[in-house]
Amino acid sequence: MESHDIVIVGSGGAGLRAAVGALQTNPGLDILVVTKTMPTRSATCMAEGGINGVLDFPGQEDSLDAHSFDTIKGSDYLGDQDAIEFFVQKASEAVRETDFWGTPYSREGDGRVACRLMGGHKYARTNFSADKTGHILLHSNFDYALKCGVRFRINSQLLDVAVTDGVCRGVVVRDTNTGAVTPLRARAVVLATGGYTRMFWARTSTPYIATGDGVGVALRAGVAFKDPEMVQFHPTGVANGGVLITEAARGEGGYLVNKNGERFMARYAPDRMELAPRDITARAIETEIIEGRGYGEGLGAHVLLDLRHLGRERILERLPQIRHVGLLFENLDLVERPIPVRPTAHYSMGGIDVVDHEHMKTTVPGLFAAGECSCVSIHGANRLGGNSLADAMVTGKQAGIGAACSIPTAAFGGDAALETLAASWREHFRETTSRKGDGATAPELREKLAAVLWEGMGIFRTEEKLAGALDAVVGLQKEFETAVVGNANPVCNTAYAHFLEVGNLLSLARCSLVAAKARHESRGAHTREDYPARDDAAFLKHSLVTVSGGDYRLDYRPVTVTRHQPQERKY
Amino acid sequence: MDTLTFLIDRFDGTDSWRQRYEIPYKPGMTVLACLIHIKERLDPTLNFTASCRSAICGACAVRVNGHALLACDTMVDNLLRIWGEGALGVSPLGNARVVSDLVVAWEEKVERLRLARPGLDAKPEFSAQKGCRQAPADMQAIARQWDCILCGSCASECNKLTDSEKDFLEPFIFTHAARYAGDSRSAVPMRHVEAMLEHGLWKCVHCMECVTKCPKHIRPGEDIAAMRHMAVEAGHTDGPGPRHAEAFRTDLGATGRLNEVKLVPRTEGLVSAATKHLPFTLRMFAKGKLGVVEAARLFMADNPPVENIDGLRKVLAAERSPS
Ligand SMILES: Cc1cc2nc3c(=O)[nH]c(=O)nc-3n(C[C@H](O)[C@H](O)[C@H](O)COP(=O)(O)OP(=O)(O)OC[C@H]3O[C@@H](n4cnc5c(N)ncnc54)[C@H](O)[C@@H]3O)c2cc1C
Ligand code: FES
Repeated sequence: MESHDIVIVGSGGAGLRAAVGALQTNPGLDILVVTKTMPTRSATCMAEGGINGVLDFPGQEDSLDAHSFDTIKGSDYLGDQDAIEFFVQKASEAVRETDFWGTPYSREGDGRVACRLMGGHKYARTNFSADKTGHILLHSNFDYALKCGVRFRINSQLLDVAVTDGVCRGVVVRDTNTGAVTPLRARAVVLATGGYTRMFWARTSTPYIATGDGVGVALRAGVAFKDPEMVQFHPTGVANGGVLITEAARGEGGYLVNKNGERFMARYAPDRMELAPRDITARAIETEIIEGRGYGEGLGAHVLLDLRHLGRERILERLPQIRHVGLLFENLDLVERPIPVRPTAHYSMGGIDVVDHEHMKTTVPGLFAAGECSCVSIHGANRLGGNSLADAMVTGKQAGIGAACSIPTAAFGGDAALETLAASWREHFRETTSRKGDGATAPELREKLAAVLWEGMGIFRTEEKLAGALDAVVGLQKEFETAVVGNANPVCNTAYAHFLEVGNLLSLARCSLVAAKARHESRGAHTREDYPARDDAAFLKHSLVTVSGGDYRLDYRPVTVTRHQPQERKY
Repeated sequence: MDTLTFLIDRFDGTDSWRQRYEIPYKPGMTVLACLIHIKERLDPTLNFTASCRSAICGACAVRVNGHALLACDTMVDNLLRIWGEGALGVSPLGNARVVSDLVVAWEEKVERLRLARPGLDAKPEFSAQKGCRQAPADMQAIARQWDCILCGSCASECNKLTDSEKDFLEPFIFTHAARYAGDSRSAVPMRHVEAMLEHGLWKCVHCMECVTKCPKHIRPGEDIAAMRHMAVEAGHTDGPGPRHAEAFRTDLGATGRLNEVKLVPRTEGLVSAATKHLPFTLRMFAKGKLGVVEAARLFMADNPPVENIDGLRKVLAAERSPS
């Protein structure tokens, strides 16, 4: 059986950084990166605004403590403070390290890395490369991984991890190109598979591949899905399709305007205005729409983002990518016209339950998680702009180090379990692709799921809406059992690949609903109209959903508070 | 017009065929939106790749009527303006191994990318603890090369690569080398140039297909010219590469660049240029009614300021004759 010391699944910022981190910890290790696409198709390339990290320079007013406090407050106190303190320190290191490896950051006149102010931050600490920071970071990490000799198995979709005697033994993957299902034995596995935001299929800024596969796989292996109800809605998706207009547009000075021509943020966050944190801004926009001050109706409703006063030159220099998106999706040039925007599902704060932020361990020995698929928790109930690229770099590196450090005491094993799992997946392909009849298709189901969630678990939630959505999702899961793939060819069967993704999304959506329904408070991205206040006495704790058989079970774990007692979160 | 017709090159691992699909026309559709419509509503067996839908992940490059482009970044309306209302032919990228339908293999291309020796070796005054310093202008000097999204469009119609990929690399690999060779932070810029010398730096035939096809307006042809210049400056004037290039060495101007690269800014990408009133000659080329040389010649005639078209002809002719 093919064996590796460490198998890393995912080649976004987190996966690539994990591979390099592991190799630098121990160059003798046999490390393989498995990824379902070509490495650089990852969500990381889409990040525009920047990566947070406080740098030291003459006249710097910012500090690690300030970054830490802003992150804790931003998380609406659901972030674990020990993990956040560790994170801000490492984030600062990550920016310097990537600069040294070749990431071409934009520069200030004195040659240091340029930074900008993003929502929810007291100081400018979001380091950037024009409005392509994620692209630049992903490619420089990819280049550096190539330089370090990292090996890739591309177009391989993770199907499951094998766990025997409570220990992770490796993974089963499917080569999309050939259809071969292969067990890979490993002494440590790092999941870095990205977020689950595609449960909002038609209303998300994230790429088609952000289907939460790693979280689904971890759930099947018995690991909890932490804080699944915490999905961030970015305030400014292009009204047509949800593609992102980055916060940098507001960071650079853009205005949000309703149909009366008002800069309505004055009503919701008079001091920060457009630079209020995402959850507050997203709710403000939806409120404007609900109260009739938006443009258009129904799903087409929107407000406007106006950049014209920045001037052509600044837009071309600082925001070229955003301008391009405007041209492509709304067919307008935002140098000349304001662009219609509306909130869009953007980031998964929840994820695979990580119980050790230094080594990114899960509850299963040998299984590590990093990046957006993991939940440490750094972002709690709301992530601040620029903190997730930093998260991918920091948690990726730590997971790589953690995995490498675990090797001396980890043995290979579980061959029989790996073979059995692989055989069951081969049978799964045969069975599902030979289904005939008029069952639903995966694209139909994911569209229905998105509609159910936008209605029931969107920006404003209630007990009734959540209960309805939960019933609907259970129904969709039932439909999925007889759904058809429509292609039985093992070679490059992308329909089957998508089918598997939809299966994961359905079960993750159900976890989210279970946790959202039980959280009788409003905190960060989770807004309950029926429980408008935050309730620290009852809910200063993480939701932990586990699945066994058809049973979805909800437990809680208290949040770690070190120095900052929860206060009211006002901007 | 109510209906769009696509003729898509299919391959299921064994058989190849061309399949016709008709979908309802809506203004403002991208090519990717059309492919998704076909897959979700007409034929789940159709294979293509896409991820970001905003022209930054590089997954969706295909050829339409023989020209590489990003499906998510190309409006069907613009294509209809160029080619008229007939069927649009969609095929996988050229100079790539086809896995299925519009999906091409990247395994070997990722391995070849290693040949550029990507990754920065920063100067000794910099450190991982402190990072680097770089003047804004020095960063700008490599910004274009860093725009590469590894979509493969530049390689699709590369004439040299079609001729042989044994002694040459995909143009984006040269661009990768160039972004490290041109980085003011690098301690060893020549390392990347020397790596490219071993892999065909002097073999580019300057057909400029890479430049016209790049959706990000990168100019691999220029990167090659710049690295040749660096190579010559560093004394790499010997060996089969430069000797092979003897035929057009005289074309090297004071900057060490070949004049025909000046053609580049005039052709900022076929599709976008075409929609901005592309000259008739290039439209003909787009329709496949003219070859590269003829189109270039006529295009030059349309646009007198470009010099040295003879140089281009000579290079093309030299490369076509058996050596
Ligand atoms: C439009 C947009 C803008 C953003 N802007 C910013 C910003 O300005 N600042 C910021 O800090 N953050 C931003 N973010 C968030 C940030 O980009 C992501 O959170 C971060 O890059 C996630 O990195 P990752 O490595 O965890 O995951 P990803 O980059 O999503 O990588 C996941 C990887 O896992 C692989 N994978 C998934 N499933 C499987 C499977 N089953 N088998 C094998 N491989 C699999 C994928 O192919 C991919 O390689 C933005 C996100 C988006 C979408
Ligand atoms: S889908 Fe990412 S570039 Fe087109």
